[in-house]
Amino acid sequence: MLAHLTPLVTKIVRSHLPRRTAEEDLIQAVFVKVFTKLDQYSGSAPFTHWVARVAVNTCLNLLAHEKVRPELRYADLSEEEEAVIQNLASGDGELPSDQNSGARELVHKMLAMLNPEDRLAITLLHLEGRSVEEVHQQTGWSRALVKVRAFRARQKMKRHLQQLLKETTL
Amino acid sequence: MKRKTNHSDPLDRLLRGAALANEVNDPIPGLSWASENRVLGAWRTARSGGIGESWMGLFRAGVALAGATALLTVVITWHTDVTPAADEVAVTDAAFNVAVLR
Repeated sequence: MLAHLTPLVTKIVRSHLPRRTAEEDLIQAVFVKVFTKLDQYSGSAPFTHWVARVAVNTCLNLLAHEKVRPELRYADLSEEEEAVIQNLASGDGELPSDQNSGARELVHKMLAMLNPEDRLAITLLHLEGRSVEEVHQQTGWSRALVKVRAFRARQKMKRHLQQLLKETTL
Repeated sequence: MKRKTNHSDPLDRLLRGAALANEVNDPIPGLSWASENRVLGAWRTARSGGIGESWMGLFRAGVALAGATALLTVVITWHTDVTPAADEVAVTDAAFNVAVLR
């Protein structure tokens, strides 16, 4: 059962962490909760949905007091990330595939500046490609709340990205 | 529900690139042996805790009863100690003194 659930829980935990420093601890905390609260599973929804909900709530509770980073400066970026920013500033099309990992690192840095709920919304909707309905089921948030959180998180990310793009032109 | 994405919006382009990188290289390792054991240990503890709960209740009731009995005993003893009893020595001394004086 642990082996079967590990990929699901790991994905959810990763979507909460700005960096993967405490990934294993968080996964362990989720599993301990799942196993000790097994008697609370009512059977009305698939077991994996229940586990996902427990994982999301555990992560949000543990990260409730997490400090968000105040800002991201162009000087903090790696060479790969700088290349991505320059590409975004100059072109219109898709990023070249060799810049995808740089894009991912940059997105993770930007996500670290969001609170855990906003980060989760962006990760599930935009990085994992889930629908609003799926996010609603997994988090327990209403559909409207999912959309509002995603919209606000995008606005924040846009502001940070605009700042970085502006710095490239200076 | 399909989300609308703007193909020229820098944020959308960035997120699409990041999503592709996520799909390609994001291996998920299994849970480590230590973590697995800690999880199973917590599970077993939780289960045994459920079974032993009734025994713990009985134990607590026993401790409470013993405590109450001990307290009652102390109170009774203290009460008995402070009650002035007849001073047998003093009476004897007085009788002795009277006999001597005679």
